[in-house]
Amino acid sequence: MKKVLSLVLIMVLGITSLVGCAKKDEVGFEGKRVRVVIGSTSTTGDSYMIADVASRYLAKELKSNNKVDAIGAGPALDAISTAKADGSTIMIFHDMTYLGISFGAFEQKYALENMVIGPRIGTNPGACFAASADAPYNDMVELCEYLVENPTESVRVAVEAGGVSHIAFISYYEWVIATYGQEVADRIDVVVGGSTAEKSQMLWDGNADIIFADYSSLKQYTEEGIDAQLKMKFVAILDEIEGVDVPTFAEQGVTLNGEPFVFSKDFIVYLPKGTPQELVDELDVAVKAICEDQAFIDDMAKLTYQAAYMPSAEAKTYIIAKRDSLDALIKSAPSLDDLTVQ
Amino acid sequence: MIVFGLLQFVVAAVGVVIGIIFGALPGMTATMAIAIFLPLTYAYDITTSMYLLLGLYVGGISGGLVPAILINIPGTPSSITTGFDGHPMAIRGEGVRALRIGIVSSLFGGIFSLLVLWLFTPPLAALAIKFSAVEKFLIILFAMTVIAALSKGNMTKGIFAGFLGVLTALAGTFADNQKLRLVPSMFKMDMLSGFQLLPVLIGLFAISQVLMEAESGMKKSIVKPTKLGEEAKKFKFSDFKGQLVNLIRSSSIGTFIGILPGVGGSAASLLSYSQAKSFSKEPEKLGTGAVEGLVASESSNNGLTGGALVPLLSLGIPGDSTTAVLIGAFMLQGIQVGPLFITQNPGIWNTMLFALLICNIIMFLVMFYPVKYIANIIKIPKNRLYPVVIIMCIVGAYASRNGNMFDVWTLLLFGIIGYLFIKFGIPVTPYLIGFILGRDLEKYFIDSLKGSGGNLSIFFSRPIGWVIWGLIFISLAYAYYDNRKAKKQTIKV
Amino acid sequence: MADFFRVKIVYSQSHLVFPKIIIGILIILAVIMLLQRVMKAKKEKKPIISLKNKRFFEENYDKLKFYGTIVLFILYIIFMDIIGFLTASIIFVTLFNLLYAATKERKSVIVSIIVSVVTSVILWFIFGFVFNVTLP
Repeated sequence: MKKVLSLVLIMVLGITSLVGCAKKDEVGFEGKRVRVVIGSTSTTGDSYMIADVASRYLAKELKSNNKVDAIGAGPALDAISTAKADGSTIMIFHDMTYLGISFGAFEQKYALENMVIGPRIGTNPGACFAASADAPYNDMVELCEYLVENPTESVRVAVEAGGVSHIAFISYYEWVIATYGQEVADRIDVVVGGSTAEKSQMLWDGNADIIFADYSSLKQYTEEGIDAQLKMKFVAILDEIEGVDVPTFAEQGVTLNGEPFVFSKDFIVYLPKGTPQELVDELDVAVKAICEDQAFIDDMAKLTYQAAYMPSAEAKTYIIAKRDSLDALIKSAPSLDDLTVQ
Repeated sequence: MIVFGLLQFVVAAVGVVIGIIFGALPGMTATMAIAIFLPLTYAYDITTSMYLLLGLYVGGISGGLVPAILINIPGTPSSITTGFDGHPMAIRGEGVRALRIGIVSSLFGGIFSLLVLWLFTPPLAALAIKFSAVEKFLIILFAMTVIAALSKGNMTKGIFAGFLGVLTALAGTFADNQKLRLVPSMFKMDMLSGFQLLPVLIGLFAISQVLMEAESGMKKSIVKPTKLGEEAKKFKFSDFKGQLVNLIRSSSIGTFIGILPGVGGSAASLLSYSQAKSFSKEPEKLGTGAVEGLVASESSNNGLTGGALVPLLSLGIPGDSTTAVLIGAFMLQGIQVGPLFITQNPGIWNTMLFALLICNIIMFLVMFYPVKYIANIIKIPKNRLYPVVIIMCIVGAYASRNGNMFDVWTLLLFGIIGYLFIKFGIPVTPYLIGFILGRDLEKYFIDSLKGSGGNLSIFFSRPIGWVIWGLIFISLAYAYYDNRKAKKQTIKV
Repeated sequence: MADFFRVKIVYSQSHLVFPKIIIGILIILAVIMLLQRVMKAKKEKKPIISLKNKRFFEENYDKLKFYGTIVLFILYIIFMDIIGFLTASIIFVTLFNLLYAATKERKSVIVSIIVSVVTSVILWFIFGFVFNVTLP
């Protein structure tokens, strides 16, 4: 009896020490299992795609074993604020990291100040507005003119609340008020939609006139040979995409406080507070290396994303400045209660 | 045109087997299996990846019937109804027979939906877009009428449990305005997205069962070891005599629900089960181990597979949560699924159809013969079986959202809730059905009203809607009649 | 009258619309169930609530196993966080086995330990290692 027990104990100890070995307390990513959390539960969105491609390349660079966990915004913020600051958990996520807090969905304790900001890996400039192909306007300026000419018409724009699309819409809305007046702006209503698939369906069954989504996910619906019922056209993109001929907000003259409005999602590595500088430096070197790797650039381009390295120190000032300017916009914007159809 | 060789065959077989294992383990699903294997497909080209991923999909949906029949724990949400008739059969010592009936039905459903996918994809996709929020709301409401059909003899209590389930599902953030409701502020962060389906499901079914058994001392195994193989009825293909209509009806329901984007897969088996009951000549036998119920449940959840691929490949919109993950495989290879997919990629399209066929056949071969041995699980003494069930449930719950300890607590909480329900005579299944459908019910209700400016008449103003209303009323009237009959019978006795 | 058939959806309150409807339905159903009960009790001339002949647990229920299960379960979850999945599983699955087997026979104890080590290691190896699923 005792023999068996002691045998088992030895086995248990043996296995645990084996497991323990892998997690030695050395500073550095080499040989470690790194959990890469992302703030989305979807494994098809840009968050997952960028995190997946990047962590595959980073694994080679850092000699670590990376695993992307799509756990959603709340759990991801929670994970990054409670995880050990030893590089075993990192987050790769876009602007929703701070927008959730700016819009009041998450508490202040998850603010950017309470985590360590690492290097930027890439950007997704692909956010766009699209309308049905037979819509009587071709861009967002024509839309306003159409509304001016047809005082009984109104349009419904499908956006996601509290996200990048929300920001894009309110900046446009503010511009419409400033340029065409409140009366025209009042006839642009918001319908709150969910995923891209849901918003596309809203457009198809006539519950929305314009939808906001990712350029790459809608591109196929704009091509030749699509059923008239499904066909869409782009009416605006938020930032220049290489090789794409759709007018940007800036080109159409949409401005915010006099400045042309440009918006790309920045994908940055975030680490738990207290992460040693050595780890951040190691990440800087690794991200720089993959962003110079043509294979990584091509893989990102295939998904219409851009590899865009920015060292951690620079990324920190950049993203905090971006947040502060958007905060001002969010504060001055009318609430969705007034913007939605009643 | 069709890519197929030894490598593809091996990959498909590996996919099917692993899928079956995932489907059979409580808390592990086809969706999870595909998500795990997605990054690995990067090493293959798209056609070879398809053999693996479709294998996982078919296997994952099919594997769920094993624990549902043998230990009354649905391995996946879509096999809940499988246990209703499958488990009583297993208790009677007909475990192998039940498993084989389920497997044959699965094969039928899978092949049926494949034919639909092959022949009718474009027209069905066009039909699917015609279903707006209103129709989807009504279809989910229709699926909920299964609650009334199930709670024979005590309909009010069953409906109450169903709506209680709906209420439980609503806890958490509402997607539209990102606001929390029905959540104690203590658990604010943990419950942003409410209770997760998998831990709730296995808590209600598996952990509550463990508690019940613990109370009574965990003495025996599920069936007496001698019972198996001696008095048991053997499986014969003639078991399917008179089931052809049922097979076709249930597979069609499954395929159709699959085609509708945004209506969850578990609605498929619920609907076919209640329809099998409505059309049955001996409805009172369903739930006591009738072949009909088992056939309906399994043919419909496999019918889902081909159906869910219809909107994915023709509109770029996934038909269920599993195919939603599948999109990732295409994206990683730089291929767009959508209206142009079939015309632009005929090779991949044909290969996918062929892969689906191969995977269904492999699924049948891999499951049909070995179940003879697998069925012995029920001979394992409970005191050895249940600790293993517990650890598997914990792994499943934890992995369901890629590592969240709160989900393990959810598992225990709903285990205790399920136990209390049994003690107070509140039916667990209607509660679970309400829970599964609750979120979608709300979403499409609110979406319908958003579209109509809050006018409730929207629910009565669309032709497809009228048809579904008709079905709902027939279903309810039938359940009411059945309920009265059952009540009278108990009084006479 | 037309207003009766309208449900106004105000964006910031839209998360409360459906829960209110469901709670309403639940209350109505609860009232119906109560009335049914009262009517039945009147018909059969029985008191509305009778606790006689009713018991929560079955007779001579296995207290140790029942409460043991819950306590072990809670400790298992807590310890998983502290000592990791594999170690915690080996220990607790053994304990569950010992609890349910309820004999101190040497053979039974050995079986318990073997079962738990084998299942825990297999699960850990397959999911944690081969499939790279995040385990506690």
